[in-house]
Amino acid sequence: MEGILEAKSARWAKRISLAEALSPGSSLVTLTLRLPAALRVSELWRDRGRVLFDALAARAENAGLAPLSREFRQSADGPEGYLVVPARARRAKELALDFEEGEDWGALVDADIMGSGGSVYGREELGLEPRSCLVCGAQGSLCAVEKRHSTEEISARAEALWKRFCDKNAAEAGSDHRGSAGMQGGAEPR
Amino acid sequence: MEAQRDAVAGSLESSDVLVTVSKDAGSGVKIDIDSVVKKQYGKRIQSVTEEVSSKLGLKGAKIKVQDRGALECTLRARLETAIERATASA
Repeated sequence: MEGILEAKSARWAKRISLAEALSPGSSLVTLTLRLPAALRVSELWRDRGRVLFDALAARAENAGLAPLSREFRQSADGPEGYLVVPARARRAKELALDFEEGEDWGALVDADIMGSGGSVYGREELGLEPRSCLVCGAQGSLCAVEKRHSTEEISARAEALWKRFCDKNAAEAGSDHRGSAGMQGGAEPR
Repeated sequence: MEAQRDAVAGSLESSDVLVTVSKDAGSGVKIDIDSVVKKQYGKRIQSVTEEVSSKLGLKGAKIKVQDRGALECTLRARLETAIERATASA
């Protein structure tokens, strides 16, 4: 517990430090896994976190927001990735929302935005409701606080979402071989 | 213990809470709560904040709690850290 809280604090401090160094018109996107600690620190999900981070970077590039810098690391709280994108906070948040909610497997991640100076740009700024639970669709923060779902239940749902992510990548890789545009940037699951 | 300086602990990430303790006039403790689950758990967050600040003997301070769906154990840990930082001798 203590190690996880320290890792969260360290990540928050790093986010503020990176955001304070942003050039005007750029934003920081931070990716973490939206899973219980027991899952997100597992070797399996550490590897998958890297794949999802690569997919987010590819999504940014495909949206014309090729990352200006990128960093991925593992902490005691699980995988965490940092992208600086050439977009103001609102545009960066739209990119993050597209990744989080464009397809159901986006429920596996949080893609948080900070603008220059360290200001948080969240769902409230866009007038959106809180995110829903990846298991039951109710308000996610309530399910987490009340521990409505067991780790096993969340794990089973996360596995199903991960399979869909893999299936989509496999399909896009197939269409790439046939000459169609697809996801770029090494998003193939290991 | 009176707050000697402004201090923070935690973050504004999901499932965490950012606690800010600042000096305030008087000997009491003012509490300001913002939470994504305030409707359901605002009173509990208030009572935990009062309990922890009382246990640590905090006086002359304002506590701002910005909750993003933290578990109660996380809230308690962040409160203790922020108060200890605010009241520690230089």
